[in-house]
Amino acid sequence: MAESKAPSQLLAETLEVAERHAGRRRELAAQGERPPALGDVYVLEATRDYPVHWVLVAHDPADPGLLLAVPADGNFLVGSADVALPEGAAVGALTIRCRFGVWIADAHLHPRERVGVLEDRVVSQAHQKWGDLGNRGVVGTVLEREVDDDPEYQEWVDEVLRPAREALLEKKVGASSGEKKKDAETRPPVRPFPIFLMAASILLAVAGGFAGVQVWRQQQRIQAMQSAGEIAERRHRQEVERIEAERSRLETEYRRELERAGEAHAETARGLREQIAELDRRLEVVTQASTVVNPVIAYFEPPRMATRGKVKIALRPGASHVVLFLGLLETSPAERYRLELRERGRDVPVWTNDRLTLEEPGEIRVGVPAGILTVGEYELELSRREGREFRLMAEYEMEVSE
Amino acid sequence: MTEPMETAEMDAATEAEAEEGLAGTFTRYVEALAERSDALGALLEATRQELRKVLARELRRRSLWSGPPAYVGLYGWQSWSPRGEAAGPLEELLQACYEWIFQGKLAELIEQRRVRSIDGLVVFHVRNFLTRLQRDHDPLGYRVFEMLKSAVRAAVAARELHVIGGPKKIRNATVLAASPDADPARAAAAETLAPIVLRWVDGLLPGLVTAGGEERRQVVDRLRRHLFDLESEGVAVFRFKDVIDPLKHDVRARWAALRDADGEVAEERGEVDGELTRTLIYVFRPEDRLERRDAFWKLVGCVADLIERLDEPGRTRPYLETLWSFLRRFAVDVDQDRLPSHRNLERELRIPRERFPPLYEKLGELIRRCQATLSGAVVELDRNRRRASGARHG
Repeated sequence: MAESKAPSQLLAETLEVAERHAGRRRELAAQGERPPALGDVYVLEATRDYPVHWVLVAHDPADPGLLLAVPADGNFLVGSADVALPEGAAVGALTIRCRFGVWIADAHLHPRERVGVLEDRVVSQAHQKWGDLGNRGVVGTVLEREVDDDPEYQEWVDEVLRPAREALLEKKVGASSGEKKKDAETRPPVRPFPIFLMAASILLAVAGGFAGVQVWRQQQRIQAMQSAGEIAERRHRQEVERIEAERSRLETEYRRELERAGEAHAETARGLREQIAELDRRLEVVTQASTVVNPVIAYFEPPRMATRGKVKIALRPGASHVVLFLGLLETSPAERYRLELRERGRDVPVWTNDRLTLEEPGEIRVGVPAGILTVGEYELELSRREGREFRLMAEYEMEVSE
Repeated sequence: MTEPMETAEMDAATEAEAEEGLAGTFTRYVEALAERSDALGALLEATRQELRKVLARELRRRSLWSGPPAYVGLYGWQSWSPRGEAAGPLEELLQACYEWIFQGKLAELIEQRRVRSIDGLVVFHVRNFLTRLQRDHDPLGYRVFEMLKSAVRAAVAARELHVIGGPKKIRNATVLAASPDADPARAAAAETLAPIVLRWVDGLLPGLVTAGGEERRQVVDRLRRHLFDLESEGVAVFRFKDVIDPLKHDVRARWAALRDADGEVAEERGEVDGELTRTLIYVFRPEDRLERRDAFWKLVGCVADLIERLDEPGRTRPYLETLWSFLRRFAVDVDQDRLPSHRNLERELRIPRERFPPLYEKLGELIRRCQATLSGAVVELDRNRRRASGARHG
């Protein structure tokens, strides 16, 4: 693996590395107490419980005092939304995690917490990646997507990156509610579904009785609903992420537009502003339903097995989601499915999700935030992805009452 | 060197020990390095001792202690405790780990030390170091672990399974059960689980090893269902280790059996172009130097991305994805210059054998394109290949 070295040689080599680092720190100190700038790297007392640095990768054009800080850490796994620092980077072998950025006021960044500066090229790369997240999402390479799926990476995200970001929001950005609104990635909290499960279990227990096969069937259903609850929550988080990313992209475009042409493009900029306002409205509706509580369940038989009858559901007060179980007669699952939910007679869907997958053979499960449904009749169109297109494969009908 | 404990039960204790029993040795050493303290010599020795302990614990925790050191890139050793050797593979690993952490990560450690004790961070880096080595040198074992862990995490999140003993994070010693009130002491014996787990493998391969994207998620889901069904097969409580061990063992054995038992070389039968075979073998040959491993990963990623973008008719692209995914995990174990016969590959990868010649040809073309694109690092790979090939022929 490596040539054997005497301890004295190891120590000499280590001291050489330490000395190089000390030299860079001296250069940084010589810059004095200047204001924070893009490329600056901080180790913040506010996130001392987590082994992360923070890199400044963008200014808010509308508010120069606001900077986008993204975490960086020493885990070698590089996912699709990450940028690995080049070998020999001044702050060490770190990887920037662009998905977990926080807008932070420069007043919260103290010069004594600054530990290094990154070169412009890396900062642009990270800024670009963060911008891509706000576009149609980051696709990444095959290997990066493998890392996204790696449970070791997911644990790192759950145990270090998310909590570090939350800690920074809490301790720094949280100090001012105005700043919190500027947060680059506000997510609903990730939690289990005890209330959901309790509701589902009671519902099934009352409806079915407890004997023999019935009990077994109930158990199966509870398992399925349990799983559906998880999926609903995950889909819901994805939807929030998608809207937030889209909003971020439009915000950036809006600011660029203003910077580029000022008043001359005021009309375009106004249009973008309206789109952002619309996304804010949708975000509000969706994030309000971030907790799966007292869900309403709707089962839809595979279209060819049943006559196309309406499934009737009653929206209970306090229900956060309607969980749809869509039966399918699929022999060869598609990579993705899209569900569009329309009010009868309307062209524009009230809700769309194009990232559905077949979770169980013959069934798609999806949670729709109850907040977007009103009393009335709905048409559901399920399409399967074939190549770059979605092809309609099944239609369902639903009637919502109170 | 003291013989490390072998049992999975010990893992639960070492999990906590790893972070609590360090008494600040690493933190003091990093402080001393930053200040160029006079006590550096003594602290280096204490640090190496502590690091050795952490490494040994981690090797046990991952069941690597009972496997060959080659699983973490230490070639030429039969076991971790060779007779009559003063400095065994653990010493070799210790030095590489020390360099990785206390030289490669020193800037990070010094800066993190400003706000916290860094002992826990060093332990994390030891784990990260071993993960990287396993991923590079035991890609099959790592992949099986990764897939099973994904399935267990999903089952736990969906409350199909509950962690009722051992580490809360999914580790070898984690005890799982269908009911949260089950008694960890009633964990099924390894001998009971092994035959059940072995029955899963036929239905999971080749996707367990080669699948990506949506197909990977489907395989994880199948594994999750197998875990869910364990209770109905009379296994209500079990250790993660007792599932992962037979699974890994069986997949490794099947992969090893892919080499023709009679020593017949596929390329000699005209099935695979000899030069291309050698290219593939030398591209994948295990290499411990970090810069070469980086070049390897760049090439693997480049070819995988090209395959993904290919506009080929029918099943060609999925077949290429499966074959490339297989080769990069299989070829690390290759100890001779040969690939499995088309007959064996057809059986394991479910690709019709007549498709292999054009698939290999296409792969060769993609590798050459990537080699041309990736400049320096891969040029070195190619040069090495030619050098080795020249040595063989002349």
